[in-house]
Amino acid sequence: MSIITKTLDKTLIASPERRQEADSDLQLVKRVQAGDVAAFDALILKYRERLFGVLYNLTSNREDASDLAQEAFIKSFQSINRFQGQSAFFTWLYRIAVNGALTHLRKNRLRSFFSFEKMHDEDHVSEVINQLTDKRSADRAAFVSELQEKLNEALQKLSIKHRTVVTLHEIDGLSHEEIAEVVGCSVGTVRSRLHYAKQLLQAELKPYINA
Amino acid sequence: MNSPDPTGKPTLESLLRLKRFERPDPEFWQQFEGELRRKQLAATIEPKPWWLGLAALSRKAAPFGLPAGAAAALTLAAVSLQTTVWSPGDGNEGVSTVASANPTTTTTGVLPTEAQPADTVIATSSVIEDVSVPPILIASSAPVAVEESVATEPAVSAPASVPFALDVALVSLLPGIGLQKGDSVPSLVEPTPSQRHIAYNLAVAEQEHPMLGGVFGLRLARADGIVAAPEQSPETRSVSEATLGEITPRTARLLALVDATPAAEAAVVSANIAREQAVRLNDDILYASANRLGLGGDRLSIRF
Repeated sequence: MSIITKTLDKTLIASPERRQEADSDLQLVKRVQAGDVAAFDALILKYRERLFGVLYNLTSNREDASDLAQEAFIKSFQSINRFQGQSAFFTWLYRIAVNGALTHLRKNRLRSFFSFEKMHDEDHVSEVINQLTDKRSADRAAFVSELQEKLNEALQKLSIKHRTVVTLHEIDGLSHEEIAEVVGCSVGTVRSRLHYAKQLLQAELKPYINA
Repeated sequence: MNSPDPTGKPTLESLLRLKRFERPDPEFWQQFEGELRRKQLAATIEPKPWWLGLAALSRKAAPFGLPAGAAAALTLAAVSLQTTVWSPGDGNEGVSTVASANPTTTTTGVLPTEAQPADTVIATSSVIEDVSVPPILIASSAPVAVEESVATEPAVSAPASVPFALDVALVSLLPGIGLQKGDSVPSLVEPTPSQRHIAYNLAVAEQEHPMLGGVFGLRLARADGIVAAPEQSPETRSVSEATLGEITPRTARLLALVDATPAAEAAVVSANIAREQAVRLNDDILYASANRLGLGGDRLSIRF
């Protein structure tokens, strides 16, 4: 078993689906490295929403998230020849994006403009909203907007490191190992940060959750 | 925490999962794609900073970093050794090119004489010397002729009224050591800079006071033990009379006294005067030296 396969196994131990996903990504990356630039469009289409979602939850600003996602795609395209397949492509892409976001947040620490996306009313959203309130129509929409604002406020009260871990794990669904590889720390550190961040969020969102 | 809550309230995880549904509209992605293409093209056209090339080069050369560094260190050491090794037979033995503490470089050699055009340089050699050291004659292993040293322009600038006075004074010393003008002498006989200065001062003093020339010459010869006390001959006296018009009235009166005595007495008087002057000078020097010393209790002080 090659070193690359061992590394991928260690990273993607949580889900076999991620393994298949990583293999298909590697094929696309090899095509790009061979000169097929159009293959990179497939990678953009595949990851742009997830990447934008992570960056949006980190910055709470849709314009900043859009710019950061575009920069991450451009940087990854420029450095695609240096990708050797020792990790999954999406992990590598996430690492570029998260590093750019951390740099952006540190640079603009004093500037905070929040611009939210519309929360699409799907099954899970409806279920959660129904648990929280029995209001209908206009009152319900106002409640959803208020809840969205409270969630963002609570996330922004976290430090950048804790917010990154919570975003990657609770919102995007990455495993602890994947987060450790993206952030560049140990799995224990990821678990510790996650635990601490959840305690803070529970304190902030006490009226809306079961304590 | 993901278990259903009996109170009906959502858990923290389900609440955070609501953030997944904050998604932009499809129009946003069209705009996103257009901006991405534009930025991608701009990044392609935009020239890369020069240090990016260096960074890429260093990454490529990383596996060869240690051998390349070792080779560079060896090359540097070899070059350093090569510059410090003395090159034999180039006429600059003992002169190291690395030991250039004083960067002042002067050109020494035989200066053009009156017989040669000024722009004709006989022999030059570039050496590095300290400018604070007064210029001296370059010692050579081969014997040199006295005539050449006379023809050589003195390094110390002499007054215009006494050209080549230094060399004349040197030549005047030659009979005392058993040499004649034009004889070949080893280079070690050549005067030291201090001797040249002393001889130059004596020559100037002799030109200003010709009557004192014999006295100084006698003192110098006696001090060196080379020349015996000369006897005053009538020819010498006639020469002194010939130069009578150039001396001071006081010296003339002294000479008149000397003329009044017989020749034998004159020689004795002249020798006595010279001896007295020498003793007086020595006493003056001793007195000046004693004045500089101060004894007080257990202290000895010296004034300069």
